[in-house]
Amino acid sequence: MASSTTQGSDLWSNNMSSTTSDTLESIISATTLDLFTEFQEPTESSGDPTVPQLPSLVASTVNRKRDRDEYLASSSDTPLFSSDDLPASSAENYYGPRVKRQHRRPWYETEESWKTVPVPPSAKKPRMRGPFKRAHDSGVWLGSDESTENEEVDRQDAVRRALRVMESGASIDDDDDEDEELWHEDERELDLGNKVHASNQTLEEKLQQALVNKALQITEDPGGFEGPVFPYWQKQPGHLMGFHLVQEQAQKKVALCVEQGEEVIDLSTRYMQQIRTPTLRPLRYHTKIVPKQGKGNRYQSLTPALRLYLSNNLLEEVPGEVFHLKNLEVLSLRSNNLTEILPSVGELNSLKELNLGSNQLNWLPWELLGLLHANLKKCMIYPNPLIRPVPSTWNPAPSRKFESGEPCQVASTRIAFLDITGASFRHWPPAPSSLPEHWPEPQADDEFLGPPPEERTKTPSLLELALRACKRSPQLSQLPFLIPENCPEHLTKLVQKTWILKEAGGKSCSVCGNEYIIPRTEWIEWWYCIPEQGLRGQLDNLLAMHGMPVPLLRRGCSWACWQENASPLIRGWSSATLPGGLKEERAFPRKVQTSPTRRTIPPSGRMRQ
Amino acid sequence: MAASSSPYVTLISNDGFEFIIRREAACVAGTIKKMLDPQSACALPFDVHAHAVIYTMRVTILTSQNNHSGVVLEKVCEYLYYNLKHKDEKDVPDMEIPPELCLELLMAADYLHV
Repeated sequence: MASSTTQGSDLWSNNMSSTTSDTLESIISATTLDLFTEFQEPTESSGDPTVPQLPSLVASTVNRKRDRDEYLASSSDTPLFSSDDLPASSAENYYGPRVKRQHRRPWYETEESWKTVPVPPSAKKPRMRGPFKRAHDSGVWLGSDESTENEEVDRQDAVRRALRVMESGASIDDDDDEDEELWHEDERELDLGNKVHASNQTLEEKLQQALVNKALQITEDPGGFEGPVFPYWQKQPGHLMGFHLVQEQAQKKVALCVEQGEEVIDLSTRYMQQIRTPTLRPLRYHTKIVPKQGKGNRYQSLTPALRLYLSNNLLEEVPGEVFHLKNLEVLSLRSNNLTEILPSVGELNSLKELNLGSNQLNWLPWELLGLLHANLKKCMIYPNPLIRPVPSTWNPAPSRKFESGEPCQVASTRIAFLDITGASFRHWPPAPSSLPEHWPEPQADDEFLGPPPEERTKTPSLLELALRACKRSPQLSQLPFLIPENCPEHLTKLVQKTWILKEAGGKSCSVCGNEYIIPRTEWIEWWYCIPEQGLRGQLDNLLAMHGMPVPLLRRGCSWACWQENASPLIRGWSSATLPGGLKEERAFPRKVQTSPTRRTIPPSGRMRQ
Repeated sequence: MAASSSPYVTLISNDGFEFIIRREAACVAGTIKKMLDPQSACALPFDVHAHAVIYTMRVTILTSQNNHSGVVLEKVCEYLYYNLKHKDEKDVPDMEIPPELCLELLMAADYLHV
């Protein structure tokens, strides 16, 4: 026992931090701490082998007071966890927010391991053999004694070459591409499921297995298309491919763009007649990828500036999902078969470029004005069969406002009042959307046949209310199939239209702003709103100066929703409530201004012949 | 012609519910208005009863289950009064329509032209 105490005193003198039970006893006897004796009771029976040793408490009890220097050095407590001990965690060493490292691959391919794998072909370094990889097999490796590592790698290369021949059909004589392709082939190997590295199969067996896997992948393609079956890796023009195949390719493309943070989504020239909602849905969650390291760009917006190209397809309507992409800056719908742009396009407030050329558009939505006021800088609308205003409705004196960039209205059609199903009445002006080509030229003595004033109420019809209830229903897509067969056909169409509207985000009345489904009033206004565009007018000099005015279709949600100041007869001017917070002003002064440039304008009488 | 001057109209559903509503409310519905208009081609043959009785048989045929036509007609009558009440207002609150009735009401509204 005496020797043990001397050992304890040696320990005490040598390192104070590591203590034994003996030293603790000596400390207790020296410093009679009442608190500590409670904890010390088990150590008195230290002969009991089952009791573990207490952790070291000596350092904290003996040196209870900190040194002054230590106290000044750091105001924080001694680290409790190992992660607290980092120099960056104290306030004195704070140098700024740390850039979080981002890895887009599993841990076993991070940093050192993946950097070595794809050697640039120009470098021509000796290939790094055997980079660290995760083995995807069972973990059992039964190599024969003769097989060395080099032989194994050579066998891998042979299989890779064979696979490459099988997939691309190209010759593999050029060694430059090898290193590049190595990187992709690693992924392919993972897809194939059986790792070459770990199997002892012969080359033929591997090839056969790979072929079977390919065949399985082909047969797993969703069916439903007829015609020749193309291997999925061969590029075929879209019109020769099935609907599902085109959609699948588009979906893959979108998924790739979202995954890589690519802001340009090019789905052009794919001969798509429609784009399904799930294809474009991932774009809603598109976020920008911040560069890994960089000075000065620690705070970066993750909002992407999306550029969506849907040109050169066979689209007959704009996919509704497009209108939900608030970050869309460029949208190209050129060379499609579009006949109408839904008013929901007004939701795309960050749109800077819009291309609608080479379609079948007779008019554009009135909400385009709001876009032009917001951010839209470039809008291409030609060529399109846009309706032209009848010369007699033409206002002879366009204001100078347009020259300063503000849009102004030059003409409008009569207001068509529609019944509860959205069809026009017999003796009332037809809906502009129903008869775009044979636009009747109105007479000055035309009697206005609007609804009687007592029927101009803002109360929605029961049909409208029922459709709104349908729109709220989560089973809207199945509702058209639930309508009985003996029901009028237009009801089914109305429900289908409601479905399309819901996908596009709904539309709001251009007069009162309420959400609606069936338009009750409808008219077209011609506006100078897109400067310096396309065709020079052929009507007269006035048009030649300003280009063509753009027909914009306005719709109201009730018979009370039409421009109150507009007279029943067509007038070229009226005070329009502009969307997007534009000022409510008369777009046209009545007097022709006598500026030198105006003298070239023909007098109004000549135009109104 | 005594019947036409009556201020009330009775609507009877296929499953036997009767709804007695004001004539001006009933005239909100275009089809009922035509039925009540003696000049109209599709006017109902009025009998000597005090009330003009309109059988909304067509409505009940169109609904999938005839048992529920009373519920639908009740909602229609609610709308007729709702329309009458909010005729001249600018901010009209939407009437509540339960989602299970939306298709039935859609067909009823199309038939009644309301």
